[in-house]
Order: sequence, then structure tokens, then C-alpha cells
Amino acid sequence: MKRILGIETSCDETAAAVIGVESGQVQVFSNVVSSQMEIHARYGGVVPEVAARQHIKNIIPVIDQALSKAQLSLGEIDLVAATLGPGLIGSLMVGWETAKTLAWAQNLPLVPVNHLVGHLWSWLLPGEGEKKDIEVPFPYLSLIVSGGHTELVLVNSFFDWQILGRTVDDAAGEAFDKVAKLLGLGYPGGPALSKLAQSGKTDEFSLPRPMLNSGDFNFSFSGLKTAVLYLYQKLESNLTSEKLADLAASFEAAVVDTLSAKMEQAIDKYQVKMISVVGGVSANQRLRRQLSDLAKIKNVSLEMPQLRYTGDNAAMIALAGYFDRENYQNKQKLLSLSPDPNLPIK
Amino acid sequence: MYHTSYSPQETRQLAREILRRLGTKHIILLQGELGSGKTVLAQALAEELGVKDTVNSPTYVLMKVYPLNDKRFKRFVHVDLYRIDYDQRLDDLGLSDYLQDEESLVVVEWPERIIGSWPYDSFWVRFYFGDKSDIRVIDF
Repeated sequence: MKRILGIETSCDETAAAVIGVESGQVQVFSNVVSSQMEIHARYGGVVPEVAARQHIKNIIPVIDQALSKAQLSLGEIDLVAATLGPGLIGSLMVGWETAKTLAWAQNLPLVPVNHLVGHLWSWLLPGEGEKKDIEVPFPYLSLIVSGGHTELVLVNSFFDWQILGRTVDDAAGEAFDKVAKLLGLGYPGGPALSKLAQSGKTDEFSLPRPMLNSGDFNFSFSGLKTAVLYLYQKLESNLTSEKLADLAASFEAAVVDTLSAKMEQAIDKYQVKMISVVGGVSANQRLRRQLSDLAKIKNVSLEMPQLRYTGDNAAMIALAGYFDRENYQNKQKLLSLSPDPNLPIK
Repeated sequence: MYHTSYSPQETRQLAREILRRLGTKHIILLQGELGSGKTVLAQALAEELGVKDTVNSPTYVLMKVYPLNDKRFKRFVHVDLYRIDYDQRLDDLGLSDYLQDEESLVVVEWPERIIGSWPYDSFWVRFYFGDKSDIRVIDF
């Protein structure tokens, strides 16, 4: 069995995980995430310097906890995988430099992982104590949606994928957070907005579905944000809590419709057998429901990560590192590699 | 000077004017509320300078850097401090290298999150909402 230690510190979470891969099956021995959300909420936003300092404070205890939960010592690890980018530079630095040090001290192979590629494989991860077959019907379509990303990807193999489209302005999760802020739900308020939307009517306000007929697979959510702003300003004086919920629901439906419609166009064009949605926004219930309806209509299978793997985590980084291990043999070169806050997905 | 823009397209057209009036400055600060047109203008500035990549919002990573093939600028640095708490020290953001480098065109959204410490020769652009939905008044 290959035992892989994953390390992830690209933004607000300090995360470490140990997974095992044996005869085509993956299992998660431990998956530890220490979130800084509460700290940042106290400051009213992300503070890069505070984030980096928190990572420094957390990283060793988090790795220790991941190892002890897995009941393994560092000496029993076969491979270290860590996020190289994209993300906040100070945060990335802590995880990557720690990984380098561990790999050097323990003489272990080291694999740099693109954070987005980690998300790409997150649906393959089983719950703790379970095993899952690594079976992927390539090519398949993956929608990566989070606070920082909205990418539609055609995945051809474990090493080859093609970005079909991406957001030309705000990411889907960012639009959720910013609209939540406009509606007075705090920041980051994406989850609060989705909760409010559950009690609202989606057809009460007519909002645009941006770029549906743009002829490509790109997304745009900035105009939608502005449209909500106009509605909000118009209503402000007589905005009941009921109308606020309707506005949240109408906005959520517009985002989900747009994501789902582009996925549908891509299914038709690329004739895949499987689709998947990953990243923080893939926890959104309306998006899950709508894509599963779409999958049924189109007769394709839909794979989604368990909720614990929708947000940033290190188990997905470990798995991506395992897939990519043959591509990083020159350790000397790796040790001089620095994190890249704008690392492209390829 | 106040410029009235009736559409995102008109806001984009102001990019050229801004670059012309920039003089020796290399830091452009875009101040305005959510949805007032800052990212639209930042994208237009990037396009004017020849950035081919998609210039999308850097809110999440705070900063995106694009290489340029320009006579004067070697890189386009797109900064967004939306997620930053008020009252931060500029030194803590990892921006200083770019702010001191005259070959970097630095475009900053939400500069007001930093209090009183931008270089004095920064070029300010301020966005205001007009009295109708799509109208913006842009001051620079």
C-alpha cells in the first residue's frame, strides 16, 4: 500500500490528511481541517498576515493529528503531497515549505499539487473507514465551483484535462458572498444566503441568466450581482423579510440555472457518460438537485464529493499527488520550487 | 474631472483616457461600491495594455499578476482588497515590491481598505452611482 500525507494551506484552512491507495482502491485514514473562518469573521475579512501566522501556528499540530488519527508515524509515509498554488502567497508558503522540510528530513518523494486539480478528484474520496474503487469513465466533465473559481473542465485522463470555460469576472461562490453582503447577510455570507433562499420564491424577481448563448463555456456573474443591487435599491424602503428571501432564492436560481445550462451544452457537445461538480459551491443543495435532474434527463451519471470534501481539504491534495507521483522525480529541483499564487491549472 | 458613463462599454472606453493621463504614475486606485464598475475598468486597462488572458476577479487570491509586452510596463498587477479588513498596514499585504517597481502597472480595487498610506503619486479613480440604474459617474 502507498500511504500519502497531504498538506493544504492555500487560503483559510490549515489541512492535513493521510490516505492509502492499494489495488485500485483509495481509503482516507484521516482528514483534519483547522478553519480560520472564525478568526477572519472576527476581523471582518481575511487578513493575509494573520492567515499566514495562523497557518504557522496550526500546521505542525494539524499534521501530528492527521498522523495520529491514521495511527501512523512519519516513517510509515511513502509520499508527501502539498498545494503549490493557486492561493494566498503567505498561506501557500507555510504548507509548501513544511512539506519540503518533511520530505527532505525523511527522504520522501514530494509532489506539488495544483489546488484545483485536488478539487477535481475530490469526488473519489470515501468517508473515513471506507474504501472506494478508483474507477473513472474518461472523458468526463467537471464543474469546479468555489469562492475563487468557476471552471468547466473536460477531464481526459489522470494527467490530461482541458479548461472549456471559466468565469470572465466573479467566481460563482464570490457572487454568492458579495450578494449576501449586499443583502446585509454578512461576509462571507454565501451559506447564509442559500439558507434564506430555501424559504423564498425563485420566480418572484426576474434576474438575467448571463452568457447562456455566448457560444462558449464561459461564465459571468458580475452583472447578476449588479442586477440584484438594483432590485435591492428599488425595494429598500419596503423590503420585507419575505421579499428578501424571494430575492435570495431568485438569485440562487439564476446562478444554478446558468451553471446547469452550460453543463448541459457541454454534455451535448462532448458526449460524455459522466459529469461531476466539485468545490465549495458544490455543497449547495439547489445546485446538487438541479444537476442530478439534468444527469437523469441526459442519461449520464453524476458524481459529487461528500460534503466534507467540498471545501478545502488535504485528502484531495493527497490523492492528486498520488496520481501525479511519476511526474516529479527530480527532488533537487523540487526543493528549489516556490509556491505560485497564480498557478495555472495547465 | 467627472465622466458620465451610460453602460459598461462606455466605462471600458475610459481606460485609454486614463492611461494617457497617467504621466509617470504607475499605481491606479479604483474606489467605488460593489457593482460600480471597478472590475470592468480594470479589465479594460488590462486589455489596452495587451493582456490576452481572462482578467477575472482577484478577490479570492487578493492579487493576480499578468506579464506584459509593453514598452513601459513589464507586468499588470490586479489587486482586490475587498476581503481585507479595514485599517490594515500596507506593508503586510506583500504588495510593496510592486508598488516600488515602476515597471509594474498596479491597479487596486477597494484601496480605501488601507488607511492613508498609498504612495502620494497614485492615480485615483472614483466611481459613483448615477440617478438611473446603468449610469455611473467616474471621477479622475
